[in-house]
Amino acid sequence: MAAPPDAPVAADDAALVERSWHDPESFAVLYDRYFAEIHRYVAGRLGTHLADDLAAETFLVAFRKRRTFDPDRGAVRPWLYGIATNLLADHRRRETRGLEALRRAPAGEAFDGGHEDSVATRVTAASVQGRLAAAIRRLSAGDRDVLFLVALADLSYQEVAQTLGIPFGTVGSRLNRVRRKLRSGLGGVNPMIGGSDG
Amino acid sequence: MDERNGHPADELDAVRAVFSRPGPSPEAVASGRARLLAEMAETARTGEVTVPTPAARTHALGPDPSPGPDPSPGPRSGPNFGPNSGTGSRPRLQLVSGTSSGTGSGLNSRPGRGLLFGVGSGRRAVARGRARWWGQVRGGLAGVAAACALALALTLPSGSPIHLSPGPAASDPARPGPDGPGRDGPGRDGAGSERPDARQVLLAAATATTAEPSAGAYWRTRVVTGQYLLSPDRRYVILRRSTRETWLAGRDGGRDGGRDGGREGGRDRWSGRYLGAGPATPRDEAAWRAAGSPSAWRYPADVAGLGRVAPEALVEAAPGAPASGPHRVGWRDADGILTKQLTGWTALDGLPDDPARLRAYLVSRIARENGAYVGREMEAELRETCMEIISRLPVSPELRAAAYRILASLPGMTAQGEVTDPLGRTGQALTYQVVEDGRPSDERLVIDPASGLPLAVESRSAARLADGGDAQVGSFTAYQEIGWTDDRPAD
Repeated sequence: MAAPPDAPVAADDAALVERSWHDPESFAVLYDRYFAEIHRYVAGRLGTHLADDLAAETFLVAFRKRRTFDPDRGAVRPWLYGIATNLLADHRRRETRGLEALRRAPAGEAFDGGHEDSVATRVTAASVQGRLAAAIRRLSAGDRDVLFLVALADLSYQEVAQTLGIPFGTVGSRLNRVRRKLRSGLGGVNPMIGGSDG
Repeated sequence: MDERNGHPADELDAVRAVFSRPGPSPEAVASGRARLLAEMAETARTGEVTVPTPAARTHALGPDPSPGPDPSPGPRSGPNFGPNSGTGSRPRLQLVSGTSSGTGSGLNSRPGRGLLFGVGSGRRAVARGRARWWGQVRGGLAGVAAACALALALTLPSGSPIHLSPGPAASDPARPGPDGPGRDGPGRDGAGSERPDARQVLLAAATATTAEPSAGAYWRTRVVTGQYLLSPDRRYVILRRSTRETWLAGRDGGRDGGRDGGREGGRDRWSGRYLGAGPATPRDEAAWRAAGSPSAWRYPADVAGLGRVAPEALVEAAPGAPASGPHRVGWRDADGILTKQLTGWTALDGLPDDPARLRAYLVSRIARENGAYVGREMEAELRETCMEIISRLPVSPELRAAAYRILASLPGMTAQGEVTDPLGRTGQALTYQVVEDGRPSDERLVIDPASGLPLAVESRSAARLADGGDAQVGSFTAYQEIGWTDDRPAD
């Protein structure tokens, strides 16, 4: 996870944002570059259907706020994730409902069609999904943000800190706490191997 | 964080396995891209500028150390804004209506409906950095604006005088006794009632607005937005206007139906048109002719002091073609902005319409979303939020009334009596100061006392012509339609 930030791309991103001040269409390049991953992040939390709208909205908001982007405070990618996470915040109840449904759902039901994971992974994951969903549902909003930004968006700690506007050290301590809770929620089972008791 | 480089991340792998989704469908990618491009086109067409925040002001990229262009003329102009500028002592509000008589039949049965629904530009439709003075509006600016032949079904209301009766305010249960100590009692219905105080105006609006429809097939809004800009050569003032209509499909059964899958967002529509631009007043027209009657104006990269115009924008005199399309404020449930956050019908439905409870809710929401404001700052945020509710969100009449009552309880609004709005309609004006980014500016809200709905929000600031003369730049949002309707969008 946590691929190191690609400095040349980041610089290029920031330049695109600034260019879009006067040449709005430059912003479309950022859309092409990041829409899919923003969509995946949102879809993981709220489902594909809502993600269609919300990921698109992320770029509309970013476009409108493009003059407020400050390259001194981080790269474009975490900035976009920050906007997406802010938009997600209005859907926390929906996310919680989704986690509740996932907790109760028979294994596998919650998956969208077209999932590419191997059947084996899906089965084992499905067997623990209820416990996992229950544990995530109990996390605070801030902890949940950190978890999904690391697990789904593959952001580095530094990027998560930029995304959420929190100190670097807080990211690590939050993630440690989250992992502890998830492990406990899973009952000490290694989710990728065991899980028959899920 | 030591775990990152240590053993395999079992829990995180499990999260990935359970919560990973396939990427977006090609349709979703294309649809999102189309929305972005439409927004860009809109930006290019209207010249809407996203006003920089403080972050942007510190924004410097690459070798160029200069801050980004700042479209808002601000107090940095310094003495120009003070009463010593020679303009501040002029008579206030020379917004003499020249459009007032004989057009009563053309009135949309409800004057002053309209609503600005853009997400980004909506909340701060008026740019920052306003002058303190309304007084030096150049001769009959609003009247000329209304008379500008930019008509696109701009149904101007009757100019017949609307008398604000203090009676409803007096009977307002939430605020018994609208008059402060030492004031004459209510009930003067003659010339003496021409200048009710701000609280009376707001409480009367609260009462009037409860007569508005509380349900309908669509929440319809129509606004005319305008910007007063200095010409690039700073010789005269240009007025540029656009109109936009938005239809949000309401829920079947009105406001009280439960809902889980979201309403039919796909029926939302917008239509709009660039209405063109031209010299704002006869005096400006003379200067415009002297400059060769240009039909388009190319703005420089640095538009500081010129008004609310994008850097390097091309402002054209000719109106644009009508445009329309599906309306997507945000995602499915988002219908506007409250306390600077997108919000939806469900959330709006849950707002209490008791003023005290609404105020408590808004204060906590403002503190949660936007930071811990105290004292006057919180009052300013609260006022802004109430303005959002009153003019820009699909809410019940009761909720709008509650927002008016909160406004009435806040200090800082001053009644200006009856004025003419940018579309030539008469209403009761309230002025107030807005502080953004630490910079004070003045805005004016015009309310239709008959419907209790806002007619317009205006803002002006001083500008300097090339010959050293004083001018005004600024912007307005005039509401033509705002509310529930059983009418249907045209297409």
